[in-house]
Amino acid sequence: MFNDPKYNCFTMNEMIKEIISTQKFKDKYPWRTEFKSSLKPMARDKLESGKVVSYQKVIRALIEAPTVDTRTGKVYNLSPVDQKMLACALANDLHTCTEDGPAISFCKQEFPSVYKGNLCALEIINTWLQSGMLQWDPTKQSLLQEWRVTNEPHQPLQAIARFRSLTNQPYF
Amino acid sequence: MEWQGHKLKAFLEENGPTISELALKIGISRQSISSWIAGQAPKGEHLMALCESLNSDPSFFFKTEVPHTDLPLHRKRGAAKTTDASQKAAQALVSKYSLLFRQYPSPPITLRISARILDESTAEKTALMVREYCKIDSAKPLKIVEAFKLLQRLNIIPIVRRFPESIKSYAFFSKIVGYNVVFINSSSNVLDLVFAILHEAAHAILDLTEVEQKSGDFDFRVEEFADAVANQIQFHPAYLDLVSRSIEGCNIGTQVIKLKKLCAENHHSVYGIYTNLARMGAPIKLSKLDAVKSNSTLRKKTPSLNGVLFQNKKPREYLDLLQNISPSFLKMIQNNLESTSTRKLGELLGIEGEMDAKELREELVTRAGASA
Repeated sequence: MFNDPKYNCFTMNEMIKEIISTQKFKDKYPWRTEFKSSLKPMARDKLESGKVVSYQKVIRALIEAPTVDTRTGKVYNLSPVDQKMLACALANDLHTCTEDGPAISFCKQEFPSVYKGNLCALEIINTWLQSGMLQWDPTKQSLLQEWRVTNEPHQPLQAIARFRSLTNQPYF
Repeated sequence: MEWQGHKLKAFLEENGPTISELALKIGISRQSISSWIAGQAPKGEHLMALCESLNSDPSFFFKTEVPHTDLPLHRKRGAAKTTDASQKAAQALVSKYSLLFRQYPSPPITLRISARILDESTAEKTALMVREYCKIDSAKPLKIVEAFKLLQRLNIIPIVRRFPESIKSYAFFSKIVGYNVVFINSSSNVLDLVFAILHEAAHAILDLTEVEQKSGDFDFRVEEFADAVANQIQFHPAYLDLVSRSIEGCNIGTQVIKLKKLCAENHHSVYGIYTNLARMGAPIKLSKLDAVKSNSTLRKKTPSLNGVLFQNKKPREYLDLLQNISPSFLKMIQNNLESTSTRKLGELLGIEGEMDAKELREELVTRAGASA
């Protein structure tokens, strides 16, 4: 996702386009333009490998079959971009980082042994803190407070507890 | 797509390996493979392992259905033609919805009207039947909301969204797993849509199996007939008579002003009323060109359907409008919300670029909670 590979995050062209182009992001995160040049998509060999393509085909076949969500009894309906994102994550042995419940649930149900799981945003920050890549400071703390203003999704209690122990800072 | 266990059986019998060998290779039980052959689709990771092991494409083991799509021959914008590209784009658009409709295997019954001869008299009778069935008592032309109500009464499901550029139509009819669906291009001006909706409704209800199919021009005759039915539904003779009397004796300028006022009030084009008045020999002084020009100026003052739906870009208001014009479709979306990704939700509603799908989902969840 970022030019600097030490962050070990990956994304696709479609996601970058969403971040840059959608009105929602323009309105909600006006600062995103500063970081445009720091974003880059996954390398083509990882994005278009045979394994990614195979996973895409399998996921597509399952969605169209269709596949029933055993928790709800309803049929999974994921967009082509969601399907590609999941295929990239599964093929490259990566966690997903998405808020999308159906996408996560689909992966857990259909690929229980292969899927590494989903990380929330705070968990990613915790990982960087733990590895020493990030040093926490008042500026970063104030940015985190912004999450309440921009109505970001609730982060898991475990992630919040870990954040507090890593930074000795409150989480709103 | 549907899992075809017998294809796996046939493949293994023809190419190997044996079920035991395959089970060992994939790391699962023989019983699991037997259940796949019996018709139970494998889990994703097992399907992946199966395809890798057999060096086959997953789609080989599934049956593909191509949705049936009809594109109108001339219910297009301006002089646009129907091309292979537009047909493919329409089919691709329809395909996005087939999974949603497949979850509801009992489509409602729609009015069916059989027509043997495609002439003006049959069009008039068909229009009368539709008006009676849909309890349209007023002689006034249908406004846009009334046109959507007509679709509801006929159990035709409207899907309102922006069309890809290659589909240069106001609307088109499609059957999706037995459901009669009309796709409506929300980029279109409201003035243009009522007639288009009625035209597609005609396609949905007409049974033309007894019509003689002369080679070459059957499709064209059907389109002309659907136009005639739509025209008769929209322009009741009493309304045409009223308009004719109101413009009688007026100079051309006054006729234009009066017609534009009536068109704006009653959601139809100047050109539409002009052709009817000219056909009945009404004292209309406008030329065809005048009618087209008047249409153009009137259209500038009338919003597109997108303009109405996304006026304030608030999910609540958008959903209130959608509830009004397409309640069945909204109900399907709502019922499947839990297992539909947010991106897919945005795709199904065609709101990309207009509204945040996540906010819309939150509003739908709130509504579901309120009605529980």
